[in-house]
Amino acid sequence: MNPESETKSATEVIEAAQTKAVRHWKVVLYNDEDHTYDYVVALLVAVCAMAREQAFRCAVEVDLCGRTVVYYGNQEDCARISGKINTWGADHRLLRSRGSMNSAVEPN
Amino acid sequence: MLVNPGRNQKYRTQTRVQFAKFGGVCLRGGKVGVLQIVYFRAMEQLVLDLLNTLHGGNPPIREPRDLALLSSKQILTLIDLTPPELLPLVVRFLKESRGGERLFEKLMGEHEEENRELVDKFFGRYFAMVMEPTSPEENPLLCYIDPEMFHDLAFIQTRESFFKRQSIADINEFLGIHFNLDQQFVAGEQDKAWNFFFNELLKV
Repeated sequence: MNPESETKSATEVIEAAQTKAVRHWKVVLYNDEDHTYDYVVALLVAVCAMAREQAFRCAVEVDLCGRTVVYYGNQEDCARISGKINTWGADHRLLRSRGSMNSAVEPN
Repeated sequence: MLVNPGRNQKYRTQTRVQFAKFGGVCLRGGKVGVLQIVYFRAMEQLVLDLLNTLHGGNPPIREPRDLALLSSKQILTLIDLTPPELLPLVVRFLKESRGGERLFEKLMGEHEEENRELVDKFFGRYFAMVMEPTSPEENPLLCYIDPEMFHDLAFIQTRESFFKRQSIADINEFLGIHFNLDQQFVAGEQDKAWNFFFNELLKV
């Protein structure tokens, strides 16, 4: 076997293991009827550093499926992100909106 | 989740919603709550007829659930033919079909390269229909915190995070218009400005 390809392969294996280790957890956002698409997009852009287009696709997914994964990472980062989502506040566009959306940290 | 009904303070007095003319019927695309559900039910047959016409009626779409049974390509093509004003209704149909994750995969074109153009087009058109146009010149606090609600402290408290996320210039403008603001808050003083705002409301 070519030593170079063997080395590369080993590096890839290590990287894959590291990636898997830091993506062991995920943040799941749950749908409700008290928030708008605008709210979800602004939230995900600010909290999860998503592009607006990506955030909008997540908004459509949570609307249609009831939940969407908005972040992958280690447990600590996921807890931080989920905490921000859960305390982001009401949707100012809707009078009836009185609180944040709900999210949870789950093992990936 | 809901489509933005419009600026709240205008919404309550003018019922500002998105309108679309279709078949001589005036559609209210963005209204929320009970009215939206009644409206959706009333429009269901009309939209089903339209979808069947666009789709060619084979297989027939008799109810929202039938939409989810179509292939990814069929759904995306049907959506592509749908007038933009009706996109929120069609998405509502898709939601009612309870197709869940499988349906979303179809909307994502099953991640096939050949569907990418239709997928991008759908999300682009839907984005344009349901998202509020961004206008940086508007002060969000003046748009969304209605002085008529100042007496409802419980409600105002739910807007604390929103208030504190605004720029200090917008906060100063908002406080200056509604209160006798003899000082200008400086950048980073959002908490202080919020306390000033809430204390002023307590005085009333």
